[in-house]
Amino acid sequence: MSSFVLALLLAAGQMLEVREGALRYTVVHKLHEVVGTTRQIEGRALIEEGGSTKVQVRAKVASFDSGNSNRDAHMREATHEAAHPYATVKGTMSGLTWPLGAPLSATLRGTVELNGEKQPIEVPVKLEPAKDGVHATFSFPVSLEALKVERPELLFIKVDDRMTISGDLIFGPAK
Amino acid sequence: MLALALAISLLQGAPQEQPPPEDFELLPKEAAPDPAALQRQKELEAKLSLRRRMLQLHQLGGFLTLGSMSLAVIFGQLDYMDKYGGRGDTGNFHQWHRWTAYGSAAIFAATGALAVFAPSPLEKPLRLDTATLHKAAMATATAAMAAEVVLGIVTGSREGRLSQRDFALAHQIIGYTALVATFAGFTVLTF
Repeated sequence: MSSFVLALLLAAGQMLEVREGALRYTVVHKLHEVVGTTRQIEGRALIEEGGSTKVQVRAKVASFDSGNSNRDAHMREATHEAAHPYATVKGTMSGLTWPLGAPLSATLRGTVELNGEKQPIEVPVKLEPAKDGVHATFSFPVSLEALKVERPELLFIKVDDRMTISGDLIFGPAK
Repeated sequence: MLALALAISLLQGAPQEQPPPEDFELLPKEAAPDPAALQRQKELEAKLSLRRRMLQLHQLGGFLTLGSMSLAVIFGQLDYMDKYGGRGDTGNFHQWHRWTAYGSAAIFAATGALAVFAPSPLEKPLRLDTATLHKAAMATATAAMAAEVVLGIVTGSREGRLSQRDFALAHQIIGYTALVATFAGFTVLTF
């Protein structure tokens, strides 16, 4: 059924998929800054006629690596990864054409989903033509409290509520 | 007929509910977990919750360990200087050192046990990171503390013998080793 829907979507526009890239989260603690990175990313973008584009990108929470296995386990616990294994960004933006002829700045309006909770977001996205595709970079803040994530703490000091999510993705035509 | 046309025009004119802009799926949906998977999730969450409580107590125990070990070392140094540093062997600090040492050993053991026996249901690859360095430092401190307890008892039992000073010196050096390793174990966590 889902492949049928996808086939219909493909017929309606240009479907792109993430070929490579990285997603990062950055949280700030009084003592240090923590950056978790994953390169195991699933993502698609559907550029429809008229330039309206739907985007969905997700990564398994367990795949983020902060350089400290204890901290990663704590992050999985805080986001209830067992019940909600994915962090997802989904939204729409306008003004895109395929193929992309020149660098472009656009705004993705949608939601970020983590810990089974959704938060509306507006993400400024920079798009540049890349080999057979599009190079997208973006960064946006989210509130851990709004996502009902119990803020991790070290030495009884919690990390800041503000977490920054950033990405650097190469999209190419879906195979 | 007129009423029908009016009804149709009203229906057409009625505001239609727009789906939210992100109401679409471009990626395959996640499979819904089966009852067995849900049960595993619950068990995992319970173990993680217990782990969190134990590690929070471990942090509290860590602060108490640092404080009590520091006191034991300070009183130990004062006791050593009193006995062997020409200050008259008054014994003023002996009991202070003994009880802060026993206290710190007990707090150290309880704090370590909280970490060692905390459930660890998530797979964690072994690698060199701050957590591994913390464990290495605390393993060193544990070995030093175990030796320290034994040496402390042996040193006490050598009262009146010339060899007591040698044992006391070894006890002193290993005591500082335990303290430095414990502070190192604490400090690496802050990076």
